[in-house]
Amino acid sequence: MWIYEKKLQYPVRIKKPNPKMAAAILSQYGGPDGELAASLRYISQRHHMPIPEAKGMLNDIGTEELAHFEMVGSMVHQLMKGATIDQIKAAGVESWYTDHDRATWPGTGTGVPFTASYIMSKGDPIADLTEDMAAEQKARATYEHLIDLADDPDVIDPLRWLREREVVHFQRFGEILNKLYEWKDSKKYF
Amino acid sequence: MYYDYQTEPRRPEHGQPYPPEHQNLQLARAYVLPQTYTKAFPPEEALKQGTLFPELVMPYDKRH
Ligand SMILES: [Fe+2]
Repeated sequence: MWIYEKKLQYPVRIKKPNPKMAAAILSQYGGPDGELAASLRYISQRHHMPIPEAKGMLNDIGTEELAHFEMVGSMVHQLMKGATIDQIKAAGVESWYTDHDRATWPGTGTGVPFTASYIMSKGDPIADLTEDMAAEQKARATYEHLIDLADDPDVIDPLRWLREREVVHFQRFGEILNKLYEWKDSKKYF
Repeated sequence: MYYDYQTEPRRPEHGQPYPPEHQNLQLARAYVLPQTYTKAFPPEEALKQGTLFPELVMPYDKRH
């Protein structure tokens, strides 16, 4: 179970609406390498891990990804809130407005809905942790693309912070993969 | 000011094989160097950086 804290893991305070940037960032909300995918992947894989360190790490990082999902949702909301119809048209996100007004929605800015096809839970701990490490690299790369596209320091700062978390997660999953190989090797001698 | 505490990440010497050969690693496996605790940021700085550990700060240079 979870305990909810009514604050963001890292502050998001965007003052200027920017529907184009909102559409780009929405991919980290409900897109292929986004925070929702990350969270569901790790929280699902946790169950079949053979060692407590792996269960614990997947649960902790899966929980943190939900906090990132919340942060990215706040970014998207703040970028859409207050955008005028003219700004929405100029940004070319009329289809977003048609389906959602200015609402945050788990999909990509091009309208592709979230799907569990983005993630895998294979039941093979080595395969799953290797996927998780790749997932962290893809999330890091996505944040770098978003930083390239952003101009507003209020947008860049939380993106920079979220990217750094992916670097840390990669390190932690790598350490867990080492432990899983240790566990696998130790089983050979019984 | 964010990067005051930054230390160089540990890297093999230039021109050396990667990963270093002496570690007796096996084929067809992925490895990440286990982190050993050296130092930590004070809590305020850790929140800003996104990590408690200076050696994990690896900032990105924005492309223009
Ligand atoms: Fe992550």
